[in-house]
Amino acid sequence: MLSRVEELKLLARCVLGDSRDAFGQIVEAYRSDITRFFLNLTMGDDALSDDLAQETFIKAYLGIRGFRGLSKFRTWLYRIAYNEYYTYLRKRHEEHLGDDVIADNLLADGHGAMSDAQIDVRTAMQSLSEQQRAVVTLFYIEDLPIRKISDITGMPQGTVKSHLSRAKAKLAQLLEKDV
Amino acid sequence: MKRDEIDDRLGALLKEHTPQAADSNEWFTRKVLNRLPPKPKRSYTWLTVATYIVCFAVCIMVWLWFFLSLTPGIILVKDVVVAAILVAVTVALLWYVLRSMLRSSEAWW
Repeated sequence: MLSRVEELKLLARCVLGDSRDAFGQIVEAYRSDITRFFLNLTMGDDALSDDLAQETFIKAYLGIRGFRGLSKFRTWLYRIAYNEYYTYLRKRHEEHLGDDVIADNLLADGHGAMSDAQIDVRTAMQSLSEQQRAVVTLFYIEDLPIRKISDITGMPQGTVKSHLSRAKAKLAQLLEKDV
Repeated sequence: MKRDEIDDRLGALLKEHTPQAADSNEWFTRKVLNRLPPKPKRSYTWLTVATYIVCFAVCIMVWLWFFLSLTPGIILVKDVVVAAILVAVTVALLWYVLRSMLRSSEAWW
C-alpha cells in the first residue's frame, strides 16, 4: 500500500513527466482493490472484471491531469471504476442481454468448487439491484464511509443510506443462518 | 451511519465469501501499459536543446558583461536593478529548462 507522500510523488511524475514507470506502480498498488470491486459487481466474472479494471486504469491515465486532489486518489479511481461499470451495463442493456449474463456467471463459475456459504452469499448479492450491490460492495467490502460512497456513485448520502438499509435487510434475511 | 453488530457480521461474512482478486498478476500492469496511447514523439528535441544552449550562452555573456562593467568599490542603484533582473531571468530560464527536461526524461533515457 502506497503512503500519501509516495502516491503524490508518483502522480507528480505521471503528470509532469508522463512517466509510464510511475503509472505502472500506481496500477500495481490499486489493481487488486479495483479488480475485487468489479468481481463483486459482476458476480465473480474474472475475464469481465479484468477488462473493466484495465479500462478503468486507462481512463485514469487519460484523465490524470484532471485529478485536482480535492478527494483522495483512491476515491477518484473508484469513481472511474463505478462509471465504467455503468457504461458496461448500459451497453449490455442496449444489446438486450439483460441479467442472464450474471445468472450464467453464477452457474458457470466453478459452482461445484464453492462452499455453501459462498453460494449463499453470491445468491444473496445477486438478489440486490445493481445500485444496492455497488453500495454494499463499497460499504461492507471496501470499508468506505457513506460520504465517500456518495462521492463515488454520485448519489446523495440519503439515497446511499436508503440503498444500504434495504440491502442490509435483504441480506440479513437471506443470510440469516450465516450471519 | 453508525455501524452496528449486524453490519460488522455482514461485513465479515461478505469479505470472507465474496470473490477476491489474485494476489499477484504480473501481466495485468503490462497489459494496461501496452494499451496506453503512444507517447507523442518530440521531433523538435534537437532544436529545443540548441535553443537552450544559445540562451545559456547569452545569459553567461550578459553576466560577464555585467561584472566587467561594475566600477570597483562602487555599487550604483542601476547595478542593483540590473543584477536583480539578471537573477530573475536566469532563475526563470533554469526553471523552464528543468521542467522541460523532467517532462522529456523518459525520452532522454
